[in-house]
Amino acid sequence: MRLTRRGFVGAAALAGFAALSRRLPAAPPARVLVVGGGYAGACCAKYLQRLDPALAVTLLTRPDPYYTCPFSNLLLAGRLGLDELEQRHDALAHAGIEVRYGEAIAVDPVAKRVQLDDGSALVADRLVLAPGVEFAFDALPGYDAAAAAILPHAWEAGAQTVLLRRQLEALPDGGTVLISVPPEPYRCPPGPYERASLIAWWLRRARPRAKLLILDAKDRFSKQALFREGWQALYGQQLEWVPGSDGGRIERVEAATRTLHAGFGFGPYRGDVVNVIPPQRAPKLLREAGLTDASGWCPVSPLAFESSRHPGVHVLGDAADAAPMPKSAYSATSQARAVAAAIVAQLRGEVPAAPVYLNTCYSLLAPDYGISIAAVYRVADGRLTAVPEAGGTSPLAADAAFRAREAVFAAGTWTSLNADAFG
Amino acid sequence: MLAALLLLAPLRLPAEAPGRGFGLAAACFGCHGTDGVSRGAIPSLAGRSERFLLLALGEYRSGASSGTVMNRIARGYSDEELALLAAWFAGRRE
Repeated sequence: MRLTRRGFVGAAALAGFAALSRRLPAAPPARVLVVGGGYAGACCAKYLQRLDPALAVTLLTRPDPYYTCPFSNLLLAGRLGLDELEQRHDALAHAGIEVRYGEAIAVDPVAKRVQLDDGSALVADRLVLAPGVEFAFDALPGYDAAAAAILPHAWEAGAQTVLLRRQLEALPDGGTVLISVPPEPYRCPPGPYERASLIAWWLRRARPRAKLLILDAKDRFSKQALFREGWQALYGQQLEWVPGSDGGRIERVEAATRTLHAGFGFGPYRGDVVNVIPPQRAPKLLREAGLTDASGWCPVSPLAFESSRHPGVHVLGDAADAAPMPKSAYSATSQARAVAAAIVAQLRGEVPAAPVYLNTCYSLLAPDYGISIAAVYRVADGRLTAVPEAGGTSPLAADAAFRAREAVFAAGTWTSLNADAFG
Repeated sequence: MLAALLLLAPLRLPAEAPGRGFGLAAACFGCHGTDGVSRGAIPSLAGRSERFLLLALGEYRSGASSGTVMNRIARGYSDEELALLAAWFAGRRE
């Protein structure tokens, strides 16, 4: 090519621009900080990074390992070890997410700044907050953190789960196990009933004269007809459910004597092993940031789980008020993928696609007896709504093969959720 | 001039925005695994033929095939959405 003088100048100018554009950084990548390394937070961080590898995604989580609440009831039945519940965040770090281990102690939802317990702070363009639930240790008189060391809640998997299992192993035959269930909303609506089932399964084999009593604050519960049908067939008189209006609602706890007090002359109930599942709410971190409402949970838009209080702050998982979606790991990951896609679209100035959320919750009544409930959720008239034509529970009076198949699918779903969020 | 504009543009072009197909399919990952690749007892969807997936989803929705949970879930989707889902999973690698 023959260079004219003019062409030469142009080429030189081009080369200069090229050199300049290499020296000057392009627009810095948007920073998204995800707080909470459970199913919701881990999964959201993973999909933010996958959907736009140029994003600067930071995940702030407590030190590893994380123990999954799903399937922790099988540990109580002596069928799983704690190591089998273990998840870590290394794979997310290898995928390009900056994983920080620490504890958030304050959130500035306007400056998008999160203060850590080691004195440092993280700042981002968007916040995704998924810190799970806080146990309301001031809501049930007599049940605080100290009482939980005697009467475990085991509603956060790990040391508490192991403590409850040890207490069960020490239960004398002919002893009594009490499980106290709080009013809704709480994490994993069918969880207490799966727990009762799997403890009863173990009692039937190891402590055949022991009895299990569920003391429920409510008069009805998730998958109730299926649980009761299964309990009748599997455990007979060994497992009893006491509804709230019939003395199940606990008003006071006496940890030292392992006694639960109910109102209106019901009880008191004394147990050899007492599992108190306490009332729950969004953590203090979110309350102090002004992200909660009178319900104690965080109001969010159903489109991208963006806080109704502070734009650019997304709250998902158990801490969000996502009713009618239940507080479950499955719901949390469904929200996490949709929120990641919505954030990526929003950061590009695009309108996110209308979200579809799904929940499928399996419960085990015995290791080879599973039941499920499912629902599809869409946004209708600005509200999160369960699609009426879809969803529902497993059929009543199904045969053993059907129940066994759902138990296998329960394990398959747990495997998929773990791989999807942490893998 | 075009060359100059290209040189001035950010070096990395943004990836394609997650579309409707991803949004619909992502809800299925909870059971069927990331991108429809399952490591457990739930069948993988990634890489199955579009025709098979559409047939299976349609039969679950109508009740012609009886599964456990899939009949209850498939009823929540339109014809167009089932077609998008089938195409999306068929386009993934197993």
